[in-house]
Amino acid sequence: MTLLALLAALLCVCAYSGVLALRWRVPSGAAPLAVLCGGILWLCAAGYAGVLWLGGLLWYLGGLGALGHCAVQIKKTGVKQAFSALFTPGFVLFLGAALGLCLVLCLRAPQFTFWDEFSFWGTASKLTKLHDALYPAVESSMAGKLAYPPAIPLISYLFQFLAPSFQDWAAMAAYDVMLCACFGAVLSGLPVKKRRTGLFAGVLCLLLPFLFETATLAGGLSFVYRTLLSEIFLGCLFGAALAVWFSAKEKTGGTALRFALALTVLCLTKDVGLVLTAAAALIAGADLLFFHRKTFHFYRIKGWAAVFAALAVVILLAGTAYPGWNAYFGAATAIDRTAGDGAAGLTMQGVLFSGLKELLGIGRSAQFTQVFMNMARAWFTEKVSLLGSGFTTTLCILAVCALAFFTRPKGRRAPAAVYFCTGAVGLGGMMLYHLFAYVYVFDAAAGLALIDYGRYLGLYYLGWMLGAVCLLLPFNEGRRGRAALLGCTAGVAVLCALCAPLSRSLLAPGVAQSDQRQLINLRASEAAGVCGPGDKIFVVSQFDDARRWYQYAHELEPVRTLPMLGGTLIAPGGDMGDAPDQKEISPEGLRAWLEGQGCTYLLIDQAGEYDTQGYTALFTDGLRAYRQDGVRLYRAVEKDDALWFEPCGKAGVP
Amino acid sequence: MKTGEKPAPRRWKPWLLAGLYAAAVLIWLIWGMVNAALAAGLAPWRPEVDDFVLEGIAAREEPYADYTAPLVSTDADPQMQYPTPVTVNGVAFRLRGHLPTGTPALYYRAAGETAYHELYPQSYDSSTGEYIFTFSVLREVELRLDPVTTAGCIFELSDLCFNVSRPFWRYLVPDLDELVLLAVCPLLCFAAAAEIVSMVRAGRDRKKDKRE
Repeated sequence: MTLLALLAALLCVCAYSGVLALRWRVPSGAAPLAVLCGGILWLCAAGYAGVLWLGGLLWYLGGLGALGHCAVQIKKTGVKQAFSALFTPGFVLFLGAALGLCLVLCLRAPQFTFWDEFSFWGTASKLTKLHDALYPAVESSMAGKLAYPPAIPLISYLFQFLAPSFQDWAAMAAYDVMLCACFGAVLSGLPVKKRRTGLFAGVLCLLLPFLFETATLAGGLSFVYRTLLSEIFLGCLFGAALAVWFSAKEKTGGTALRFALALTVLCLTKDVGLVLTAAAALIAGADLLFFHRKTFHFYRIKGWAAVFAALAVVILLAGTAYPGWNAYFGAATAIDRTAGDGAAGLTMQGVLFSGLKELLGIGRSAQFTQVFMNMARAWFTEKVSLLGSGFTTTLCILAVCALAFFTRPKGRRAPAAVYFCTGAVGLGGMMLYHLFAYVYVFDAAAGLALIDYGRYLGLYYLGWMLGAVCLLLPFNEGRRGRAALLGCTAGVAVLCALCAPLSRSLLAPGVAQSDQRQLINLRASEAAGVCGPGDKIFVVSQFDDARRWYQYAHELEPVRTLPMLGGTLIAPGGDMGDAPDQKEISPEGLRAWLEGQGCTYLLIDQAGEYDTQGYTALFTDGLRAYRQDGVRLYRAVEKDDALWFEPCGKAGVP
Repeated sequence: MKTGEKPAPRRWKPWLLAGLYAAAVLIWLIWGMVNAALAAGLAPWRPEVDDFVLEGIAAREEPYADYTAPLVSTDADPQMQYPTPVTVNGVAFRLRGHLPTGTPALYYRAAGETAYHELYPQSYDSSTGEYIFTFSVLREVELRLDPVTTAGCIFELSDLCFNVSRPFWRYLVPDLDELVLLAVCPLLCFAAAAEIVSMVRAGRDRKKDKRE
């Protein structure tokens, strides 16, 4: 059923792309990206107005209308001409890869496994689907913990709109379809005839994300195409925005508009999108100013006015997306996102100001110097891709740009060189952003350790490389260009086969769910069967470092999971050794807190005999049912004017 | 091309593609038969659970359900290390646990390597609880089995067998990932070959045009 919903969404995307390609002469490879970006923005607006469901419905109805319009267009221009306008290598890559990935994901049905998928991406997507509203407007266990803008939850919502329930794998499928649209945009400069070039470029694009994750080097399973983490999404969308600009033979107002659309969605994904937008604007802007100023026209406007008009569109769309989200978030939750947070308690502007000040040497702290030195060293030592460190990866991108430079006809070579230089400046900006983040937002230890450096910075290289691939393509008529593309594809394929083999990827037979997740699902489903949306459940999960809490909060939606009091609760006089995050609270204190929270159910997830001794006073049977029969679910009852818990679950739940 | 000259016959292309697919199938069959032959040379033998060095696992005194010799994991990372390096083509066992056990992981490390590589099960039969792990390359390795990843799980590991003798046809039938490789690789090789031929032709035509 969910697969049918995904296919219906895909059909609508194709219909809208058809209208764009046939009626508005948009290169059909770049059309799906424009459609999906437009769809996300449309849903975002609908969500702000509180009518997300209506927005989704209208999008699908519009898709039906677009289908009809396509039929009319095809009849008007003739089947052959319409097909050759629509089925260019870029569009074929999008459709084929999207269908293939949806099918594989349906077969393998992976579930979320990463901490961040439970602490934000997956849970926000699930909340959006369950409540048909943007998550700040929803009362949930995660209120106050979720913060990022809604692009990924909205793409998941768009594709699962017609599905009966939320599925982890369907959210991943929606994410992957967006990636396929990005790859289609990279190929959008190729005409219909260049099928072979399209094949090699398509293989290169599909394999590139594997190049930028290093999990497989440690022998682990690759998570490419089976995750909701934002890094690959951001990297590919950044590359696609660049590709939309560079693959257009004639830069027009439409090009600028589609470029701005992609950047807007970037800003609506995560705050690092702002840095990526600035970098993309710099790269495309330099290209526009140096090489296309005389021929660029923004619809009817020409000359310098056209350049300013394009800039205005980018600033208007992309620049207001993030502040717009902050404003909505503040209005919906009464939490001010712009207020200071993070280790140093600074606002975004405060971070920027302090950071620039210290960078210039004014009042530089020891922490800043140390993190700066670590980052400088990390560029040479920390792996960001299968190609190696940031330095090695930059050299590889330089090699691709050099290939693009030398395989282009004389007189059209300079854009490749300018691309690399402006991209390098963008990289510098990205490093600066993360330097400030490590110093002011992360806590001291995490900042010094440059936590998740490979993940955060790898995405820039991914986008930069995608854009470089796009530069390699348009002038591919010459033999040198074709040889270069063939060589790059073969090189990436061999590298992936050696380091990120298929047997470790999404296709492998052993892509199984973790048993921790299976257990949690089992226990949560027992609770969900008994509780209703108005209930509040407290999960006792001793020795938890919050990972299990996030998974329960995700599974139990729409039942509210009460916040964690602490990783391990200890009654006075107890001794828990070196259990994480210990919180001492007496049974009476716990009872009072639970009463204040309005707790209606209690679920025992992890608790041994030794550590529940202190809390038997809360239970009508002194926890005998748990110890003897393994009953995990307890209902809150009023007894003697106080809150007690009596067993109500099944015996012997594993 | 001079006018009136027939275009070069394109009939070699379908033949090349068919030939590449045939070659892929042939290579796959040969690979499967070689593996079957090598596997036939290795007789299956059954080690005992006691032969392993157990870490984070203890024998459970009280009986549990109908498990023979039940074990219980005492921490969240139980490991069973086989003490001597062995050359095996596969490992099979039946695993039952009182908690959902997820997928057991088999790690191997060749001599001289520092890190373990993880091997994912080739097959799992949910009705019998049998896992089969197969190695595609035969060499002497140290083995480590992580049967479960939860503390306090009571489990039974039975019918442990090194060197799996599978029916002959199993070696010749591909999984999903092998099927994708078989379907896609010949196509890519064909495209690459066609591209190279086309580039060589274009070079020759250009030289011819230059001479004229």
